[in-house]
Amino acid sequence: MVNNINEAKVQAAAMFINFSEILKRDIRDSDGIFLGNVWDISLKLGEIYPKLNELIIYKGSFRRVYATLLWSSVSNVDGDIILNVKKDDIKFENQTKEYEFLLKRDILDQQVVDTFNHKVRRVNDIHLLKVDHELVIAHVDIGLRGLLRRLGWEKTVDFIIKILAKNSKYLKKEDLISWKYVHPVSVNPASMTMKLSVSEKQLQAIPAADLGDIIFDLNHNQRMALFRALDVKTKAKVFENLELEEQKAMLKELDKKEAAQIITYMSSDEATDLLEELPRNMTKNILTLVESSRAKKLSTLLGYSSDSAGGLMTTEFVAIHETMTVEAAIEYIKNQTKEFEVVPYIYLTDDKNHLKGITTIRRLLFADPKDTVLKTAFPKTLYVYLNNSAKEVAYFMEKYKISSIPVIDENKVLHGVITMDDILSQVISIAWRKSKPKRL
Amino acid sequence: MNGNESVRNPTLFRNLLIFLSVMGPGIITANVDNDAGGIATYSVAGAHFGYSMLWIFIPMTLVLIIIQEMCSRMGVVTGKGLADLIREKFGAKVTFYAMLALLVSNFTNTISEFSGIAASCEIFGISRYVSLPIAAIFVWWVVVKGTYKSVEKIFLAACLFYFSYIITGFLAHPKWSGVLKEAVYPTFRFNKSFILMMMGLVGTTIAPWMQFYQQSAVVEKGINVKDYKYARLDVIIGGIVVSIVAVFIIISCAATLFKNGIRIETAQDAALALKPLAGNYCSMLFAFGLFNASLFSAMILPLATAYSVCEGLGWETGVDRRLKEAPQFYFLFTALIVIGAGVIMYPKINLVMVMLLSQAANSVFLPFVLIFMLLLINDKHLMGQYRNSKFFNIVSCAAIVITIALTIAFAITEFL
Repeated sequence: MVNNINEAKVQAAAMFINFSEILKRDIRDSDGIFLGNVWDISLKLGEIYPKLNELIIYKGSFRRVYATLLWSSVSNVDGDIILNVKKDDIKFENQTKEYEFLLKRDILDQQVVDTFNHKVRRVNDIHLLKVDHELVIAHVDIGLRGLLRRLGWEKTVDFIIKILAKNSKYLKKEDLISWKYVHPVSVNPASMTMKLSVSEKQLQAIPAADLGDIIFDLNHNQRMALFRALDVKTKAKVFENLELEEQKAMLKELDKKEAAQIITYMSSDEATDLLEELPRNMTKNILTLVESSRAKKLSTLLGYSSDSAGGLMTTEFVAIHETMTVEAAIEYIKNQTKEFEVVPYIYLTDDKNHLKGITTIRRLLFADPKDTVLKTAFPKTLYVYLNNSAKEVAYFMEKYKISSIPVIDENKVLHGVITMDDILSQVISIAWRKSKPKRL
Repeated sequence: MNGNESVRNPTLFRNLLIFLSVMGPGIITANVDNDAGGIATYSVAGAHFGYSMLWIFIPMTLVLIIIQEMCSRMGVVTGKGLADLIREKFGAKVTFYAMLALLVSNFTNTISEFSGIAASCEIFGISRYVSLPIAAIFVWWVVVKGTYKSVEKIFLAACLFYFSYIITGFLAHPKWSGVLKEAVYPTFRFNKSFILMMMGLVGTTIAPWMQFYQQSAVVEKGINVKDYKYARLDVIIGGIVVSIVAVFIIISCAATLFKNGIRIETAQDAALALKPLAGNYCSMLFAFGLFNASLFSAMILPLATAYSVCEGLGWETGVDRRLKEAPQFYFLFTALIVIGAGVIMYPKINLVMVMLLSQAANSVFLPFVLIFMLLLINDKHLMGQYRNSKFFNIVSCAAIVITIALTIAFAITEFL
């Protein structure tokens, strides 16, 4: 998030300390004897704005020794860092402990996900807020000023710009992201999972298409760790939004079980598109792990050519028996637990699954509750056949201005439904021949 | 982590398929290495010292492969570019100055590529005031409008054109027994010009941009750790191919110019001097090779530079971003091309000086890059089980120490 800190907030700015400045300071004991410098700082995790937990001191350059102290033993951070303990009470060791999460190692200079602007950024500095005697992480700095501060040029550049352009945007604007919106992506090398997961909710709130872009801005270790941190529904949604090549690259990294889980939650047309592109034995392996009713559906869909109506359709739609009453139908739709891609249209079938009519929720709501649903059906039932081409389907849908259309076989048995976005992506890909994202 | 049996079932055909899909970064990086500066250096080496420098290519190829293999491995294992890793391990300050150095050294290299374009076109009678603007626009357009895959295909096609040098080598009718003998028996002469030439060869063959470009390309390709052995093969083939091409350039100059005692200063001189000695075809092929190499490198260098600098400093990168989203990236990329081509349009420019300057900039920066690399590749946190083994560390350290010593010595003697 970009905050504009204006003149009125200058006072407040004094409450902030930059982490890069703390790193430069000397550490002294209660008698003012020099102890060493800041190696790193660990955090008290679990809060939205975590407090600093432990200070790790280092001393010497060739034979380096380290000591760890609780942040509560720091009595002053203005100027040198003054501790309230004596030098003799501090034990230096040859190695540091194994820390799960450290401020310098895992945040400063690293990449983080900005869950507010949906971007991957590199951290130039960290803003710490003084609250009583404790320091709390407030923002990360991703701006040019933060970078210049790290180079030690902030004051010089500020001075020059003040002379040249007093009202320059540069002086007033700071590119900060509130810690609330920062999702660190440092990966634990042993478990290959994210080290911190405080802001997972923020992450799930990002639209799946943006999340897909973010994931591909990260390197593959971070990518997989971030992906694994998502719940399975979000995973499936992200997956649906990726390009085929990207999906395939991701699948390579996932194990079969994970892949099957994701494919179970993807809409059946997207899942089929993906499975079609995989080597045959891999498709088979995955399908054996997908729950059986769904696997059956998917393997049927796989039998159709990808640019025919059969290949485009989804098998998730609401079909009810033609003899049901309107009342019962509304109740039935309400109780549908699964999310369906096609909501507005309801398809009416007989015992043998023959398509008898099409109605909409709207038509049901305004009808007499005691009527049969078939009475609410459109006068004309529009449909396409399994072997109609994508072009024909698109033409048909455009002609009748409908957002979805049922697909039947030559015996009028209902097999699936094609929605506008399925046909749109197909038509667009024909028109544009899908250009891949361009990088290096 | 992966349950895909098809990969665990290695057959020759499948291996070949995987290799073809992984192939690219190593071969391309190595071939860009035979750029305008490289061809000039090799031509001069052949014209002035005959076959006596050929043996250097055996140890040099080994060192090149060792260094590039480390980059490739870091890219595959960490999934990050070299600039990223430097930033994350050494902090903002070190990264900034490293990127500044990279910018300067790559800028001088880019100028030298454009000088190669100008020189080769002039052999065909095309004025540099025509060839340079067209080349600059072409380079910009291909990279900005292309996709990674299409650009890589163009690059791989450009690699094929290097065969023109192998043909030139045959057209020059060298004495093959002499070539073979000199390639195996090292000759060494303790005079300044011989040592200088030798250093020049090393300096132009192992350049810092290569490490950055190779690692980024590996990352961009998204090569999986389990396919790493194919990426390594890519590096090895690249290293060998590049040396073969270089050897043939030396052979073609040695068999003609050296035999007749003709002294040259640039690759352009070499192409022109070949005409009466080896025929029009040979001369044209030589000039065409120079054009191809220069154009090819002029595409990759500005791109690799803009990528690394933006990566390291945390700016948005990539040609898939719009101008507004990645202004620094586009600015750098465009500026390198425009200024690079513009400098060569200046009528009084001394092309030999440009070439030497670019080699000097490389050799000053190279030691730092190699030291960064050694520190990074031995980082347990980063590389895990893929860090250097003790043996590999000793070999790579030795290679790096020799390279550093030679490049520093080269830089010093060049300007004394």
